[in-house]
Amino acid sequence: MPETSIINLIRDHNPLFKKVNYLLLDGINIHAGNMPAEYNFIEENINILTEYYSFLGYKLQNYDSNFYLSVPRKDRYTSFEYFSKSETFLGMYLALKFFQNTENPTFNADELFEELNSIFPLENLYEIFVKRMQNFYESDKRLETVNENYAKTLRQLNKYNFLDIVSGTPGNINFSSIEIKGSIKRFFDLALELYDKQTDEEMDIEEVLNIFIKDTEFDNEEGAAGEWE
Amino acid sequence: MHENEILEKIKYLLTKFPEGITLTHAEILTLYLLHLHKEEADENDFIDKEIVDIAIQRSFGYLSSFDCEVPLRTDTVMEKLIKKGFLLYSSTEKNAYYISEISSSVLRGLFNRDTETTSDVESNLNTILLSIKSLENADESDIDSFFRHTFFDLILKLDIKIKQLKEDIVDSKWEIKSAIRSGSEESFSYFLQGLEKIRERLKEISTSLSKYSSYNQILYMMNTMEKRFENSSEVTDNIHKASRKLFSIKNELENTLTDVTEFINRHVSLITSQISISALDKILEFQKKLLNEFTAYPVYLRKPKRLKVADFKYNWKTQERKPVYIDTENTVLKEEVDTLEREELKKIIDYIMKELEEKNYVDYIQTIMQFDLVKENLPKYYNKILYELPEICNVFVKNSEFKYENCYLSEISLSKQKVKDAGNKYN
Repeated sequence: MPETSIINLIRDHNPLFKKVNYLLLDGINIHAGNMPAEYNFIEENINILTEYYSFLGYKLQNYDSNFYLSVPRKDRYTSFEYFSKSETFLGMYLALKFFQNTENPTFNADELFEELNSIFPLENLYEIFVKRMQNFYESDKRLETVNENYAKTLRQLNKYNFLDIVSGTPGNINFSSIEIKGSIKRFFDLALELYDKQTDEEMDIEEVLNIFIKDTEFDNEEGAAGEWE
Repeated sequence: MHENEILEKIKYLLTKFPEGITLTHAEILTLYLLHLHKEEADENDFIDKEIVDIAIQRSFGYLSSFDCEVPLRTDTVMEKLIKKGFLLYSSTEKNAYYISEISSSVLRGLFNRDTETTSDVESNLNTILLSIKSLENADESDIDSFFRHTFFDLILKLDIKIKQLKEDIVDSKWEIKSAIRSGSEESFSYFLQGLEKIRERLKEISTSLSKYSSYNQILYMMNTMEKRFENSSEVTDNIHKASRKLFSIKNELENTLTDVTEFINRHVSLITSQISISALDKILEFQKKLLNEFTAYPVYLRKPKRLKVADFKYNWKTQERKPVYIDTENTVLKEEVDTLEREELKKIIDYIMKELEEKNYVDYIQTIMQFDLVKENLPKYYNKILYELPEICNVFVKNSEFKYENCYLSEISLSKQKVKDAGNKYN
């Protein structure tokens, strides 16, 4: 087969390439079951696309039949953003649940919420899902707000293809049963990265985070400062 | 079963086993040894107390050789067995016991599994097929009795076989899981061994799911029979029942197959990912810690961002501007252009003459190409300069050609001295 370049790829498969590119750059996982055409397209042109995305500063990765882009390094020329606080928190929690039950990672969303509510104090959940408050007091209304935002976050994660709705609709996702997909490993990778920064088991989370942040600062911080003002 | 019958059974269970049924290692082993003794001795129905004591001692011995925990006192084992109803006092002898019905059935389930490995699913199906074929010309009563009794006897064997397969697969799964959890270096080879075992089991299933299996032929035979006895509702009912049973067996096999495939997929992807399995638990523990501290020190996962075109902004000035006039007439006259060109050409010719003073031969194209005027349009000036050159120059046309854009021009060399054989200037 003749070597095709990225230009040929864009020219010959313009709509598909555009779609794949937009999905990947939006942080969405392309799963073989959900989007077979897109998945096969990436698989067929894996070499070119890997090179293309690594040129842009991302890493094209595959886990459990999911293609996604990860941002390995903070880099001045790579444009990236963050998953929101609630998305990251819930994603990490779901990743925990996934790896504890790899056999059958299907849960009822309302049971998951009850579990969250029993493990973490409502004040913390309110801070993660809604906003930080001074002089917090618990109330049923606050719990309801947290639950609403929990449903919103679940919908968002569903949009990114981190989970599947087994029974139910996106509208009442917080009462339906959901299946966590292997792509949730992305959140696990974050914990893995932090875990690797740990020098010993008893280290404080704050210290670990400090090391983590220091290690992922911009390259050439001093040299390039002010260049893009 | 009716509702009140079920309630009756539940009541019986609750009164007989108020705390459920739990048996420790030592208790099961003691029972098993007693069971073995009874089978070998075969003299009395009852068991002496001494023999029970010996069985307990021996079970302790076995357990300690497997590094299992052993209860401190021997007499508690017997007490508990009696209390739970697994051992019964004998009514005819003193200090003698019976093994109760429940314990023998538990032991049968645990140790005397009907391990039938010689026949596989397919051969069982084949037996059923053969017996159905022999019924081809049988009369109604024969067929009725076959589907009422014989068929289910044959199916029972198949059922047991499938149950065994499933249990084997579950066992292998547990082996694989524990091997992975242990995280030792051999865990991967254990994993492969477990997979190999499962594969062997799957082979037996897969042939019976293929389209060449006797299963389909059985269904076909049953259909023809059903048509033959359309009028007899009893026979057709029984045939329906039988085919439902067959369907359920096929479903069972298919489910097992998909279950195993999913299991393998999950574990292979876990093994091939960068996490070493032994570290998984530790990392999960760490992640729990991380989540607990999340509100104080949040972390965010990075994701790529789609590039957008930057906003184009222009600050329009509100002040009035002076109007701008553009003169459309070309102010440079044609004559002037001509004189400029002529001056330039003269310069070039002077330069060539000067070069000829110094050298014998001058490369024409190379020389004139040094000037910007020529560089822009070589074909135009190639001839023009050649005409303008004074008479003293001799022109030699070389064999080679010079490529300028998309036209070819002969290369020329010039010399000043008169050469005898020099031909025409425009040779």
